[in-house]
Amino acid sequence: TVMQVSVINTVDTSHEDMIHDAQMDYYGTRLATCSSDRTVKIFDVRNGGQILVADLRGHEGPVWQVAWAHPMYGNILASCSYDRKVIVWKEENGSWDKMYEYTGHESSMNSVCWGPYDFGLILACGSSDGAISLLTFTGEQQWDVKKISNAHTIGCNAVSWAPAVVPGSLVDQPSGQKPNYVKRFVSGGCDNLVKLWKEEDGQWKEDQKLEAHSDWVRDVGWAPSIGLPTSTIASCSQDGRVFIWTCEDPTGNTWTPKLLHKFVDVVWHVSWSITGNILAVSGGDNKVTLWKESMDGQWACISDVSKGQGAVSSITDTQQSEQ
Amino acid sequence: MSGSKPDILWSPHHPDRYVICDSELGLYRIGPACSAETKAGTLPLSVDTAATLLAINSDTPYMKCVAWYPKHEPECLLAVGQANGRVVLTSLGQSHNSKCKELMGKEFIPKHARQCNTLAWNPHDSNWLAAGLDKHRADFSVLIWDISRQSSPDASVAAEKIRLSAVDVDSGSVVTKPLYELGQNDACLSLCWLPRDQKLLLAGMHRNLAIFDLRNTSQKTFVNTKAIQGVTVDPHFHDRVASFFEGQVAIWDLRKFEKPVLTLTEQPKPLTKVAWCPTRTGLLATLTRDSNVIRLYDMQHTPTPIGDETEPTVIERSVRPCDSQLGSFAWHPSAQNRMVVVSAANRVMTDFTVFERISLAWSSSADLTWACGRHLYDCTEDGAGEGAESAIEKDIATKMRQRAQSRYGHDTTQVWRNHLLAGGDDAQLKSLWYDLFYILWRPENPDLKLQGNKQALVYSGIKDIVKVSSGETSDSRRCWSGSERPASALRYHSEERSLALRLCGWTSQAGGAGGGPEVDAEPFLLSLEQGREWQRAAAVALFNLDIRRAIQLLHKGATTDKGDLNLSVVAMALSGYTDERNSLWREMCSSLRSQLRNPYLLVMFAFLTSEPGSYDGVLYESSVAVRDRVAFACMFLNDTQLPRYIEKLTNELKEAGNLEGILLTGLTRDGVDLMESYVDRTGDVQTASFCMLRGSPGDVVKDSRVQGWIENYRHLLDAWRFWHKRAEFDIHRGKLDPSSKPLAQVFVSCNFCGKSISYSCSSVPHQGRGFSQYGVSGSPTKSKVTSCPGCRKPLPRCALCLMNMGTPVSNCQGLGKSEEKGDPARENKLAQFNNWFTWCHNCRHGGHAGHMLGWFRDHTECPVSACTCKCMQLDTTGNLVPSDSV
Repeated sequence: TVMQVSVINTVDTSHEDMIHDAQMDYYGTRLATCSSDRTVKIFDVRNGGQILVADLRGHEGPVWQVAWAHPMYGNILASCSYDRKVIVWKEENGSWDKMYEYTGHESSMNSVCWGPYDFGLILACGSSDGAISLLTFTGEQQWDVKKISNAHTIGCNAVSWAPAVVPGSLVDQPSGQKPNYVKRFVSGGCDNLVKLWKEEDGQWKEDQKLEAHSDWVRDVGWAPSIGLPTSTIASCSQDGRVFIWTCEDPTGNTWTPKLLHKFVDVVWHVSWSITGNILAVSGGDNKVTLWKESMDGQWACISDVSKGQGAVSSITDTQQSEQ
Repeated sequence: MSGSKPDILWSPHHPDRYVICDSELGLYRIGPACSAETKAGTLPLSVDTAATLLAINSDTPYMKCVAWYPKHEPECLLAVGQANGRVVLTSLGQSHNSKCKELMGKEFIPKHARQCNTLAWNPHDSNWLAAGLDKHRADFSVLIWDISRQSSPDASVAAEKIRLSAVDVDSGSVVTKPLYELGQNDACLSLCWLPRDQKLLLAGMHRNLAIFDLRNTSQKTFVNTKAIQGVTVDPHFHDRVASFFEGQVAIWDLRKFEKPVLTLTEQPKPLTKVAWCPTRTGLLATLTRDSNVIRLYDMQHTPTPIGDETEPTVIERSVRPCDSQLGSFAWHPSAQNRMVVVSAANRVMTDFTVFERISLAWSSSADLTWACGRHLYDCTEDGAGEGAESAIEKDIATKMRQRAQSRYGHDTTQVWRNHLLAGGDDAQLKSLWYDLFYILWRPENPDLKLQGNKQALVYSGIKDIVKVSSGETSDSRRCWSGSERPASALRYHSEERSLALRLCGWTSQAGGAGGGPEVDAEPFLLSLEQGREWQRAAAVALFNLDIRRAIQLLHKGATTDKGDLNLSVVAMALSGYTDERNSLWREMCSSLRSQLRNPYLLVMFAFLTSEPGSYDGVLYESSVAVRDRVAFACMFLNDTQLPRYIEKLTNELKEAGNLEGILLTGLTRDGVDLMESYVDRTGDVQTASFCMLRGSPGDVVKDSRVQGWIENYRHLLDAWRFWHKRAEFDIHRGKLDPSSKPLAQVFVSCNFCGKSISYSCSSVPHQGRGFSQYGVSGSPTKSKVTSCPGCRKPLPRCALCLMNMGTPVSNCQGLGKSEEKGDPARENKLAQFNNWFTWCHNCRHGGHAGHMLGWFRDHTECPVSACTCKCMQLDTTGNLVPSDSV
């Protein structure tokens, strides 16, 4: 199957330097971007428009990533930067202000990701110093900080949360009581590893270490679960490879990698669609490709969107060796 | 640049022009590639661009280096450094203004002839041109010429000049006295002016990097290093400089000039060019000899003082602009990450863009946004595939959105219609909703009503129904209808089998449940006829042992407009049926059957030619709908064969997540298993939620998987801002699964007595209904309650109309004009809503919902004077509007 997609809009963001990340909020009405120009910008993208509504200044270096919190906590955005800071921004009465600034790392902050809303307001942040911090809002402007030191040697490049899944059946839950969620996330780093982390008794522990990449892992993405017991993670690397990791084992101990594709150039990012059945992959060949798992469990490229054009063709090795 | 090795220079002012210099200078203009590829004089540079040669200049032999005059006028003035150390000003193109004419051909001659290695125009004072020369004894190697200076009357040099140059020049065009002389007793290999100050010149000398300050030429800052070639300042960070030696690049910070801040991984071959990207911070491109790749170093940090302690992150990449070996490259001065490269031989040029890291973001509405460079790209799935594009399937998220809009799943009376609401083009959904229709159907005739346990069986699907059927089955050998010949096939009957046939839709809903041997297939055949399913109808008729009817149906199919004439031929073949074992008819049927394309025609002949009791040709023909195969099995398989077949088929369908299997599994745990593989495969939580809500609330609906699908579907509706659809779904869910109804979250209590104002009015403490008594409720006779029913004190007043709550809103300000005349029932509902209590959780002011909505449409502050609460903005989603219609 092929999916017909096309670029409908190209917008100059007025950023003065390269944009490193762009993230849409929960409702798809606002887009946050961040750039080497040290700013974070928020655009109102309702009705196909793109109106700048906020220009957040506070970082002293390139801003690598932004992440929106679930709207039940208000309009909250986290950003991380080379300046070693993570800033949590909050909109109140129509204006954006710093809600919290975290400076607990010794090197560039590369990735931020909010946990599922069921876990409360919790942010995972990965740093070039190799550590990962977990910041939990405990109310009254208080944040609880937990740090996983030396999570990835040389540095952590990406973090992504697992969807909230309750162990066992929902029926067994005593009604009215908060279900006992298992908090898990995945990280990727310069040690070429993908690691899974799990909270046990309030402490974060390494749960799994997934080895398959031969160079830095650039991005990881835990697929949203649409009621499946199967867990799926995508990882991509400097080595040009994208792996899909799946775990059908209910105890979560056996993860098997499947090579989605070997690209010629670095693969920067992987991103799951809202239902988790399409994976978007961006690579150094300037292509965004969309992948879908077929009935027989094979991953196939269903669309190939070169920048500025909506070319749809199946990806072949000859096409990729262009560079 | 040595020998005929080419180099490229972009025009400082024309974004579409560049010069290639090898043995001569060639000026090119870059433009869009013409459709006619063979357009004379253009060279293709990429898929989209081509270059046109504008001018050639071969006046300056022995070229060693070239630099383009930085000022706008004269626009095409170039300084050429020659092998003998002379610097010549020359030009390309015809349009020379007077200043250009004056400068053209001007020569700057050092005292002693030696190779000129490098040239650099001062970016501030464009009259200053720095030239770096090889060593000549104790002579100076860095000369700064003032191009506006008049010539020195040195006759001998002038005479030599005239001899060397073909251009007719007067002696006024030769300058021998430099403005500054620097770098005595040394060689200079590379030069670059520092943007910090126009008097600072950075030079790569023989064994050191030196910064000359022209304000005080006796002093220089220097650092000993081998990396003295190709000095170049980062255009984005003026204190950052790159230089190289052999295969190694050194990055310097001029503020701490003692040692390089960074050395990049060594490359096996000597470097020939190193250049900072002018459009992007921290991107350095390098090229080595005999290479077809350009190596990129992405320095992911800005040199800030805090960055000093940590090793900066550098991401290395290689790009290959073309297949041939590269001679040189040049970044475009303004186009993002674009460069032109030229091959080492034959001057093959390529227009190339280095692609940036692309970040990706899906939006909730299945749009994909990505950022690349300074731009954002918004990408969406194309609209409905029309006709030819029908092979292109839409993503499930798009489908679910569309189906939610068309109220898919909400038709509770004609349940089968839901497949039409889903678009009517999905066979599995069609099968599913018909299954549910038959399962949920309750006979009106009390005689046909099933006993309690049988009704439960209906839910549990045919798999469980046939399990219990043993013991009461009768068999009969019937005659072919309209003939005396008994059919060879044994036909089995039981109450359960009849029920199964009913669930398959083969027997009429009004009758047949009694379990009598006579099955009236006629209503079903008529409905198939109406649906123009001729082959299927014929097969059903045949399985009911009515060949005549089957033939008639095929004829009808052949003769109706656009009918398939082949059906007549099939009918003819059918009419020749004989049950004799060794007849020619049988023989031919068996061999030619495989040529039939239509699965129903196929199974008809399979049935006729098969041995009694073994019908694999029918049962395992996977193109035939599951319900038809199952109905067939219920008629012709005995009590041992039937459960085995059904079990096998069930497992197959469960594994495949084929919704047709719901017929077999019913709405049981088995059905949930099947639905689970379907959701795994498609992600269609919408269908799963609506379907499973129909199951028994105690068992199926409480299954954690089902609850998960329902929650996921509700989240999707939320994220799409389908808030009305979400509410409708919750209402629908509450009807089918009363335990899912949320508890009341808000109570209105009297300010005086503290009792809930709805409590005392209602004998049942059902809070959800309480409010209707305070509104018009559509009933004019009902008394309006404007006071607390407990203590009789008046209710608070609406902040806008100042009437006590409970007083109906007279004119509905809250309603938009567009909604003036509509459905009266709907209007009534909205009118009721306008009378509801509403208040701000922050300032506690409020009133009639209709009034409040109207007020906040035009205001941000609370309607109560002196209250500055921005009530609507407190809610983060307050200014979002639902994206679905009511």
